[in-house]
Amino acid sequence: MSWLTWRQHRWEAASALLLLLVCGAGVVALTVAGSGLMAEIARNCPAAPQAVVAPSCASLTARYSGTFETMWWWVVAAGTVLPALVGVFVGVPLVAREAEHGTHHLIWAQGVTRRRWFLSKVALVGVGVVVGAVALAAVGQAWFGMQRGLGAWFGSQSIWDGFEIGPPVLIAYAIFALSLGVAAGALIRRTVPAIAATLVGFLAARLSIAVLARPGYLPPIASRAGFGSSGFASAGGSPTSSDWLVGSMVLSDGSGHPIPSGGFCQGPDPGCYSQVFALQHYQPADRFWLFQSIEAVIFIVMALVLLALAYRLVMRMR
Amino acid sequence: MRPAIETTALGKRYRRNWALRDCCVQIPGERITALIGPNGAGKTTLLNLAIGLLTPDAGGIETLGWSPQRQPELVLGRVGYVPQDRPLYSRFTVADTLHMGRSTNPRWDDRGARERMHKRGIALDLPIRRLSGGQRAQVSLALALGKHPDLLLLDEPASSLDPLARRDFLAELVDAVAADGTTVVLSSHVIADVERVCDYLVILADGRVQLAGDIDTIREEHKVIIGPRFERDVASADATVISAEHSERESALLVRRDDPAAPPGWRIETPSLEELVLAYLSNPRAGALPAPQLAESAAS
Repeated sequence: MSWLTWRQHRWEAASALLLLLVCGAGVVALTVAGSGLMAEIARNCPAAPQAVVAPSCASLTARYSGTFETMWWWVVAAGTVLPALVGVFVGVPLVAREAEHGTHHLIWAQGVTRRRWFLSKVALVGVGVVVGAVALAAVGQAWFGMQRGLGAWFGSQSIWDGFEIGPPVLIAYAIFALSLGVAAGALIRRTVPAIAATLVGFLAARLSIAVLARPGYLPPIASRAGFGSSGFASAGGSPTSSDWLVGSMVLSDGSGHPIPSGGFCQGPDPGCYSQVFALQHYQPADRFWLFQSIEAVIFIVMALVLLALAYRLVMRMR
Repeated sequence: MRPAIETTALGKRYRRNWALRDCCVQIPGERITALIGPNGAGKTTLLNLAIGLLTPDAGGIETLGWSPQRQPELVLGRVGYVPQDRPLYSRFTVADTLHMGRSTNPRWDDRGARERMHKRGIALDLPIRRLSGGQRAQVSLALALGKHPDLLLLDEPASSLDPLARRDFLAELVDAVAADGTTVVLSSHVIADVERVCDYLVILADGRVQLAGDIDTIREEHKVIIGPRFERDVASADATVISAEHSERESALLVRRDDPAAPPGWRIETPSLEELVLAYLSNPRAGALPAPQLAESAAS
């Protein structure tokens, strides 16, 4: 089975290796270019935050933001697109291509049982996907470390910004995409519709969990800031730039109810202002790895459910 | 020798249509059995059930004495199967295909499979998609024979082959199985092929077994009685009339009885296999009873 699995997936494996090499080389090149740029900025610019407005280094900071800041989006996008490609090019064909070409009747009539065929193919391909995802995550972390190092000069960047390329979730996304592709292929039994279903399903799961579930894995910490003479000042902890702000600032009255904008304290009335405070909800930076684990577990559980479904479909397929 | 395939009230349903129903048949070992029947009679369904690609909806099936569904690990390594459309991985080369056979079958005969390809002039480095229909059939057969099977199942093995390729294929098949006494079950539409290759016959109609038995015995059991034309159908008490044909001057009855008493002026002939098969196929209700020979051949 291992030979057959290799023979059927060697082009995917070679493409993944090539892609990883290109990404790795890209990170190395960016690190070299970035440190050169940073050295130049350090020589020519006054310290941050005046640097941004200093005319002597405007072109340098523009080069920085043009090259490195816009890249955030590309990297986060790659952290979503590459796992989806795993589902499309590795997961879907595993069953769908066989069913489409009738070769399932060839391989299921050989001396391996259908159960062994399915389990060993999924296991072998799964190991390959995990290895690839670990390598990709390592490349991603190298890039993220480089990027944070460069950006630190402008002000610290939050670890939360790299949540989507964190190793636990990136590996879990890849396993989930693989399982989704296998299950869609086993259910639909035709490659092209199964690819479409895999893409839609992956993006739907990925985005809905990121937007709806992730901010509430643990109840966010609420920060209250009273309104004083120098503006809002919080009594206890308040979110820093390394925390993840999940709820924006809301003005509340004394009883904790939100005040509609522009609807409070008409005119100078100190009594009124003393009642008002600002409310912010945030996830602190030390929850980052806990959140990574929670999201990874969610995707891996979904992957296992999908694989169980695919197994049942394959065992009943004719 | 236990039966190659034995079914008891076997049924298989596709949505609401029964492809096989109450199918009871015992296909003997060490024989070459032909599975004959019109399209949709359930031939492919029976073969797919026998290799475990399908699961019965009623009754049971045993292949070489094991359930192909519950004990696939015992059945799959011992049974070679060539499906009707002869699926092969089109991106593989011939060598890859044989490598697949080697890595998925416990009793793989690599030298035999390579020699078979060499003998047919099929280069091992050829991609499957570049093979002709006849060559594909040969590769499929080599893959099934390479398993060194106790039982070989072939679904319409000669279909879509030109007459020459068909002759070569069947000759190859007979050569290959004669040496080790491999049991073969093949479905076919072509009675000439059956006559050339097979010695046991199962006729399927409407998902049931219409007739099953040794071909020579079946031929001896049936007679054609030819006499002057008569108008009404004969319902004879001591012979089962399978079919009656009336020409302008003569009537011919195909009856199931090995020593029919013919009225004076009638003559008795032994039917050809083709006549016999066509008589049954054109009269699906005839012989719906289990063939009497079956019990005897099973006991022997």
